[in-house]
Amino acid sequence: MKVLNELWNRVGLISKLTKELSHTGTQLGKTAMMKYMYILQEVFDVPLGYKFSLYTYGPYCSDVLLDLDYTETLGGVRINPVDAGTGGYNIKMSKKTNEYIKKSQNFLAEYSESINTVIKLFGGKTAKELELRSTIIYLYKTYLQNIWEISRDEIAKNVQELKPYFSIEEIHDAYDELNRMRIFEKLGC
Amino acid sequence: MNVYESRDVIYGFITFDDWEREVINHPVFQRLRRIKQLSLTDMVYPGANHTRFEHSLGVMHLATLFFDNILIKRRQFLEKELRFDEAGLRRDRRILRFAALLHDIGHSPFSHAGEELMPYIPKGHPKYEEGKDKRFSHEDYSIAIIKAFFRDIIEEHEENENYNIKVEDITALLGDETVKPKRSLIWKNIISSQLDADRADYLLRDSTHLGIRYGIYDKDRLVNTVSIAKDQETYGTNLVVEEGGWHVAESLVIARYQMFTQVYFHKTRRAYDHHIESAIKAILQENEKSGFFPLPDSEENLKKYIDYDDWKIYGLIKEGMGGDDGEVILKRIHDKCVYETGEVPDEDELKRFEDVWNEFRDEISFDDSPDKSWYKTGKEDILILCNPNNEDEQLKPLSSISSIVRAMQPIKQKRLYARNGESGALRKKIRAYLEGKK
Repeated sequence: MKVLNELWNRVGLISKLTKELSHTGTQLGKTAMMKYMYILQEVFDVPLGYKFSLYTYGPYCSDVLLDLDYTETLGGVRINPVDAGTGGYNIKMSKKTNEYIKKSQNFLAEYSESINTVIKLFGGKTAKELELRSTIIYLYKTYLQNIWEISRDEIAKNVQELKPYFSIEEIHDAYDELNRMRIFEKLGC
Repeated sequence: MNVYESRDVIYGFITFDDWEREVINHPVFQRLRRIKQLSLTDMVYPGANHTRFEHSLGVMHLATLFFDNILIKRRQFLEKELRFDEAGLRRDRRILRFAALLHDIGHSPFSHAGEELMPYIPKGHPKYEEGKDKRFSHEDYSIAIIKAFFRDIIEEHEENENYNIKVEDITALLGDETVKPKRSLIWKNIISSQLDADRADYLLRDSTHLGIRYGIYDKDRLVNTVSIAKDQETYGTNLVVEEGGWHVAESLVIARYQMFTQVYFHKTRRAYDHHIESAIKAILQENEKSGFFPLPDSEENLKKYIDYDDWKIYGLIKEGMGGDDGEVILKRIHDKCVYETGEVPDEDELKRFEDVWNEFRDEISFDDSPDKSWYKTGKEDILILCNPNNEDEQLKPLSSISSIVRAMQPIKQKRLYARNGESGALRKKIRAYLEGKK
């Protein structure tokens, strides 16, 4: 049944990312999970059916959080509040994490190259770093779609208008890193 | 500028000026009087006959209350950290009001029931992506309609000499990806987010018209405590609720949860969503050949699109153009739910559901789940601003403060339906089948 297969694929992917990323030493929270899903779908064409929209806090789709919470309900992950500091959440493996990875093994195998690449390139990055990078990707894609002239400075200026707390240097660094990762090439440039 | 007032069932009075009145009086905006807010929900709740027209006025009013309160509470934050000045804020207030007023202008007949009848994005369109079957959404129609029919009214109005507003400033807040996103994107949260004026209005309005209390929350307290802040975790700015108002944020989430189970995902209401969608499809197959609404790609096609409203569809259904599903609506002989999971099904329930679907596939008329519905519900983690305007100001997710919200789970209920008249027998067969499996 299509609707159920798609659900198990998403639950499996959330479980897989949690297994691979929850022990990197960096907090894997809800924001980070949102941005991983964004990059997987929009850069690496993993079909998840999400509809992302740009906000000042980067690309966002509430369905990702519904799926994440449902995965917790099913026992695929644990989501624990972080007491101090950011006030966010920590997503950890749970008793059924491996079971849901196995359940969606065909889907995960089909997209294993993409999933492993994203884990390798972005694994261990903080929510702040992921948010900045996913915002740059969103804007780059929008510029491409509209056939606007793309330059490092233009994108950086646009990002800073949305996110004034980031310095131009930070944005440039993130842009350069994405360039080295060949993310922009994947977007069709 | 003259100021006008309109009576409103939620706010008492809604005020607007000459400039906004011209938008409201435009025939394309008046069309919203002929699109019911909740489609055929009146088949279940007879009072559900309110329209997108009054909701649109309501969202404009409530969005303004949010904006004005944020200015009272966070002017220093806006000026020092986001570098707004008085003129910029005055201009953005105007833009926000227009965006809120026009946010639903592109709805198809019977609101979200027409969403699946939007055409696929064709090759060559800026939003087209190879290998992805993406449809246009009502937001795409809203954006195209605003640009095609409201540009002159908004841009050429004499008052605009003070603001220099382009319609693209407005569509940017509605998700227009052909506009470079600017600082004002912060206000998009008031139009569309977990804490937006859209849902804050429709929960109250739907409850009031339906004669129920599930969607009622303390609106005044919400307005009084809504704010914006920087998220230390991500360096993003976000719409938040001050710590003193977290209980109203909690009640907003509960209201949405209750309205979802009692109204938006009501099993009979969902049956009528299915029937009206199929009836409109039959009409479009006759009128447009494609079976889809006209593309939002030219003024001519948009005129054809906005010619479709509830009245036209009702008329065509009455003339017999709605096919079998049109007849179902006329006679109120809707399909019946024959099998459903719990609201938050576990793995075994989902397996059972799939098993039943496989076994009785030929006798099932359609299946349903919240994934197919525009309305969804879950934890809805609103951010709470602790110690506002202090050095140790901090954001916390509502679910880390509210034990009720923390315990909430996303509803993923699945249902199977059968034709009226066949449902009783099929329900028994399913029961016997599952008994035999034990």
